[in-house]
Amino acid sequence: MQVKMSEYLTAVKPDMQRLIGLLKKEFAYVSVLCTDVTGTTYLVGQRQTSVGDYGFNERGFVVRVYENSCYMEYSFNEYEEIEELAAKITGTLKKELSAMEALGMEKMEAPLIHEEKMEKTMSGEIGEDPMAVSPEEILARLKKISDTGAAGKFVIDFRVAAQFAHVNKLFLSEKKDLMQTYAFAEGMAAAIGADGEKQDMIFRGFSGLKGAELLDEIGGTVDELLKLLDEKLHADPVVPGMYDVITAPEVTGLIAHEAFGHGVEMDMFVKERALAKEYLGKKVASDITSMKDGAASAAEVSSYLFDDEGTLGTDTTIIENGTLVTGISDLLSALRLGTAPTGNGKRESFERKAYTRMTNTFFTAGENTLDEMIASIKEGYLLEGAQSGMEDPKHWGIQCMVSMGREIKDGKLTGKVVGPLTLTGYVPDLLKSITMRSEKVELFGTGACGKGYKEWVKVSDGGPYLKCKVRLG
Amino acid sequence: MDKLYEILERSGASDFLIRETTTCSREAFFIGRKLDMGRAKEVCHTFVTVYVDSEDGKFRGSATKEIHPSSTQEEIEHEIQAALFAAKFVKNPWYPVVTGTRAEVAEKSASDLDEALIRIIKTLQAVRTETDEKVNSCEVFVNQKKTRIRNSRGVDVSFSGSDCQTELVINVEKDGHEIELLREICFSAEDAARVTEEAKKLFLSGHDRLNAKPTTQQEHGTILLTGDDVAEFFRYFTAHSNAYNQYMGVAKARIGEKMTGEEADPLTIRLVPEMEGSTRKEPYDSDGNPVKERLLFEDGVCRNFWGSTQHAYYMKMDHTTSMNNMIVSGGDLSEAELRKIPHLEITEFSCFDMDPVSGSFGGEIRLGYESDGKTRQSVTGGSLSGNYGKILKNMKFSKETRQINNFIVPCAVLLEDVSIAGC
Repeated sequence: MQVKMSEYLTAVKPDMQRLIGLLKKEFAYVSVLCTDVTGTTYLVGQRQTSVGDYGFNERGFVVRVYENSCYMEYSFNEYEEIEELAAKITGTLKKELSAMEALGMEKMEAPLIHEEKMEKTMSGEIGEDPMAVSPEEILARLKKISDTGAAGKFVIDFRVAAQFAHVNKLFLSEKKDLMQTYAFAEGMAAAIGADGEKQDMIFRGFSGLKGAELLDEIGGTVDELLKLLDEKLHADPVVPGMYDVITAPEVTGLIAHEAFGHGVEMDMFVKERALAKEYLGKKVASDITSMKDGAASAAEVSSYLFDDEGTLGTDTTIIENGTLVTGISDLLSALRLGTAPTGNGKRESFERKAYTRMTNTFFTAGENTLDEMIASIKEGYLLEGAQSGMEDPKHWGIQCMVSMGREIKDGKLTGKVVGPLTLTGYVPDLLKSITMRSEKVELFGTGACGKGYKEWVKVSDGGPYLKCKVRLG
Repeated sequence: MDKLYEILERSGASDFLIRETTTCSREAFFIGRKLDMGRAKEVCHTFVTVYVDSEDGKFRGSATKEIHPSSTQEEIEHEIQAALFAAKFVKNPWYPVVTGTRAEVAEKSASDLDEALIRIIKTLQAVRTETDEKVNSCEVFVNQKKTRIRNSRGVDVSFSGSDCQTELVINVEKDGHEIELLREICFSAEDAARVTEEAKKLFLSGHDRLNAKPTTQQEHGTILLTGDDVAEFFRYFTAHSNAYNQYMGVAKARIGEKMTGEEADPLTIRLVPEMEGSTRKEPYDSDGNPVKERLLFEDGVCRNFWGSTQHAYYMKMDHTTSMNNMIVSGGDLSEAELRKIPHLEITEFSCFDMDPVSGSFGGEIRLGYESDGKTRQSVTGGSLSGNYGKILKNMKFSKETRQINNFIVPCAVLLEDVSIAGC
């Protein structure tokens, strides 16, 4: 089905166009991003059920203006008279800027945004409309999965969640009139269990530009999760050291995201916080390694027509055959660097600043089978289950928390499992150690990405199975 | 809110709760010492929770929706009916909502947000740097919030507050090699000087990181945690004494039982509603329940749980509280005495990760110091992996404590038998 545009945004559009007209009398550039994101989260466990808003729901506006060589922004979510609103925005932003100018501080000058006339709309498609499925049915289907999982050995609780999001955005400026609506779904199944004193949890995420059909996917993984829980509960600690490893697609995605995705966010180039700036056009990875990012690179939770600054999404090749080709960029960073924006200006919500952020980030596929990759390792691990990670663009360090590793000896899986694991390393060493890639790319869009310790946005990441060398602890 | 309250009263809900927060903010973003962008914000968020009881009164379902200030009466009624419909199918054991509190906490005089912002910017501008040091970038957020909570059982409380947040990134350079460190600092408006103190500490750490050697591998190492992650380390104990985790069956603390080993320092943890310099001062939690003082652990023995009204009822607790601020008492030895034990001190992680379910903790080491008890060498790289199952038996912490926003915790925590992946 085709996703329908928010009636609210359609209704407020004339008001916002008037607001731009009024503010243009005061400022050299004015834009307004209007957001209306709705959705519901359903969570079912053995002991508790909950229904609530999707975590990224929002409805509001952010105005960006250009004043005295500086961009200023105002976020709000209610208004009555447009003239009154325009006066309030003008007064508030001019007062704040003049108070800072009175301190005699210099400004990081930014060129004025020049836009070409553009009118575009986008309406996404999903399978089964989640709004047409009763909460009773959704909760019943999730309960059935939870009950099946809860009957498993060692299980304390088996939690299942489904989230359905409907994103609507309208970007207006003097020359741009952009509207987009799309929907996606996220799901999660988590088995929590204990054996003696040892307690642990294992989970699987599901996501995509999908609707209620996602519920079928969640139900199909119960047996696999119970097996994984058993293995994780009885995993041994790893002996710290450097190992040949094969990363499962979700771990590959975590590496793509943390190792190089954050490292090529070009607002970090402006701040001299990214080592990658010095490596453009240089080898940073093995010859077989290529990596992409972009709202137009894949169909996942961060696939859109335009970003939160009104720049159209693109398909960016970051690494091509081992060479760093380009970074990804928001609009203001691109203006300062003299480069083209790549449609990566994203906000946590209308209430927050736009930064350069990833969209769908992944390593591209190769030609090896997983069996060939396992057979090529004398001593190492197959790493599964991405938990969390942290970027370090300035020093090209990497931290990835991984759920478990399956021991490989003499080209065969031994059945022994270690975990949890902390994967660390120096990014170029890791990327240059990539020697094999499997044939299929998988993307994962559950969870959220932060910048430092805040500014959470939806992203997806992934790739094929990769063979490389990393430090495990 | 009155219009919304009236709609909810006639909606058929068994009970309902409204939580409305208005936030006004000023924000400034700097690259180096230059202004990158200024921002202002004025937003109002209203969340409604509706409760629906089963006919036999054994079950209570709920659903929560945000009602936007721009919503029409028709939209509000539609959203509430949709929430009520969904809540009917949520079958949780019955629990009560908070009853009868009516209070308007005296509104703190709302200061001019621009003035508050300028005061912090001036503090940041006053941060002195040597020729090999620089402030790379920083972000400043000044927030004023006003909250009102009402429910169907007579709760009607309102309170206001303000807080500030700074993300500070610094660089230190030596022989053409530059490193960076990042610190997110949350502080109350009256405590802006904390930014200067943190900046000083960051620059010192930066110099040490420039001179750091690779971390040595140890399969059974002893570490001294001294950075801000000490607060996250102790969050394990509040997680295990939390009523939600208790009810879910994943918490290990038991009332009257000791959670730490006989050789461990006595662990005493208290929750307190207010703490000078903390950004957390809300007098009521999101259910409208007053936030109170509560002893969670005394000499390692769990004395009380804490948490939401719903889970407190399930756990048969007479009364409960939410957490604003936590105080962990100091241990038996001084920090100087702990430092005499050979150890790896870790002050900066890329991201300290603590999983209360499995008890595993760790992270990549950005800055540490290897010490034989007498000498000290800064190190970097590699990672820490540990598990509370192993370290609870004999963990030690310093007599001295320090404040990290809403936590007062021992300055140093000594943990044995952890794994260090060197590099």
